[in-house]
Amino acid sequence: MGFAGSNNFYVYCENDPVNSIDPNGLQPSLANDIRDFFGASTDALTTIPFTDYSALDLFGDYGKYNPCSDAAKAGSWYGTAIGLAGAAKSLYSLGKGLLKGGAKKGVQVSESIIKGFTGHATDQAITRGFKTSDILKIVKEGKPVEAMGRYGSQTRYTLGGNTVVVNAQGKVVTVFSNAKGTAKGLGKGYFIPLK
Amino acid sequence: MKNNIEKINQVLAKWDPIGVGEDIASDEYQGYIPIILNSAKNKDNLMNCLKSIAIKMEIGFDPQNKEHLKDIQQVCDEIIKIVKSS
Repeated sequence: MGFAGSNNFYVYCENDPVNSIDPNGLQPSLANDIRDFFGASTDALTTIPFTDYSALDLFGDYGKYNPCSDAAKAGSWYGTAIGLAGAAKSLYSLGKGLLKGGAKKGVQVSESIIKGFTGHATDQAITRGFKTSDILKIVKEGKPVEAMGRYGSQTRYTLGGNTVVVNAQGKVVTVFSNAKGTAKGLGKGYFIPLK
Repeated sequence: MKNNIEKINQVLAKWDPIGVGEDIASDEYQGYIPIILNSAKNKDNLMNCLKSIAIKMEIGFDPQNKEHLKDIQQVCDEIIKIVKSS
């Protein structure tokens, strides 16, 4: 007979005779170690916010355990590690979802309406003082009107006297305003600042 | 020359391939006048030039479409007439 747990002869089952058994006096049973390990794992895991609590199903319910045992200490570390991994996974999924949602909104605006600019549109935008942000604002907030051009269909977006013409493929074809300009026609069609 | 430029601009405004409307059209296509004048010495060259302009505008112009070609042919003829009469 040895004293693996303690040199104190009066200590039985690491001072936990209620929950442990030690029939041969060598050490608490393997069942106690398992109980301590998973009991501590469960407690450790439940202290981690945002974690995946489904891991608790694997740990099982072992009821009261000895938190001071080596098995419990190991279990505590194990539960913390599993909990942190679950939390990281949850937060990653959350972040990914948010990013996906944000990107989708941006894509909806840029891809569904404007897919590019023709060379002519770029020239006219520069000449007439339309910035990209102005064009996007006109398309997003302006009134769309389906129209037939000389050779194909197009959509015209108007806002504050400014017009953006978008072809059937979603490319901006031209931009202009209803600004009259000077008597000599200077400034005609130039961008009218939006309020 | 200045007279020719104005007349060609009027033809382009009347053609108005994008369909911006009479008021803006007189200002819309002025940038193409130099290249048109440069190509107007030869009818085929001018046709190719006008087709190229219409294709690059991405307004639905189809160089295989007979109606579209007929439309461009008219513009081409008017410009050639202006250049030859000067």
